[in-house]
Amino acid sequence: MNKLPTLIRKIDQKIISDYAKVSGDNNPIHLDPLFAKKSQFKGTIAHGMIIAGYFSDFMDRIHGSDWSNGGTLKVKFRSPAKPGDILSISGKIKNNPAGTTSDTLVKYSLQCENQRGESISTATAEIFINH
Amino acid sequence: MSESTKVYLDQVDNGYCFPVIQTMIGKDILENYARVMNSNIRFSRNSAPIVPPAAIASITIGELLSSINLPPGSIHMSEEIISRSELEVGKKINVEVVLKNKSVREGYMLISLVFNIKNEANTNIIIEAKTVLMIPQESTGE
Repeated sequence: MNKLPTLIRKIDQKIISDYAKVSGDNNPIHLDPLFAKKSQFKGTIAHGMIIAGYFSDFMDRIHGSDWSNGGTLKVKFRSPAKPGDILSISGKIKNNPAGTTSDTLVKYSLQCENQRGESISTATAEIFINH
Repeated sequence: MSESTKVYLDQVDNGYCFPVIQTMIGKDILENYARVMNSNIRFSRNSAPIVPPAAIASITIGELLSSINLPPGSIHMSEEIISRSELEVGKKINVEVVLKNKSVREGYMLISLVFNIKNEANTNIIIEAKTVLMIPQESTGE
């Protein structure tokens, strides 16, 4: 398998609050420390779509405009990212895309872990490339 | 959107079509998104600047959520985004959303929403997406 350059992103409450403003997702689990403290997570958590955006950014760096024109991303949110987390977004090519056909499907396995090595999210990505 | 016009998920059935959202992602919104995401996404790859697929999904999901009476503590479980074609910055889009599945498990409602995001003329699919949410039947914050 081919390993690809890791993307590092730090999560803090300002990013979460600013993301809420941009996206319009103002769920108090992301924004209200008092509410979130009483929840199962014991504090605010990042929006899942922030992580999905990091995965998409990871793929965009590899494939550029092709990613916006035919990429498929499937994300599972396994554990919430929290303020203070430093996330590593990494990926590997799952199949061998070398071939003779003009269009070849490349499959990626992606993961997002925090600084303790805990899985925050996993994803698969697929894209057709032209040889 | 006022509370009285919001959709209550416990009052709609599988197959329910939400009112179509007509929106547009402009340069200012996209620049804010890129800043928040610390993204190096390029806005001018070809002849016209385009909106990254995750930005389209993020913003349209946010717009949909504002039309739903969503209890505090709802959690995003999974997301699928299929990019069919590029969206130029500033172009209007139509967002069709269907409640694909609703089920109840251990005090939570699991909701699957299917998004079809099309261009203004409805002739071109830009994004197909599927969002799964876990919604507490009673607020976890109380």
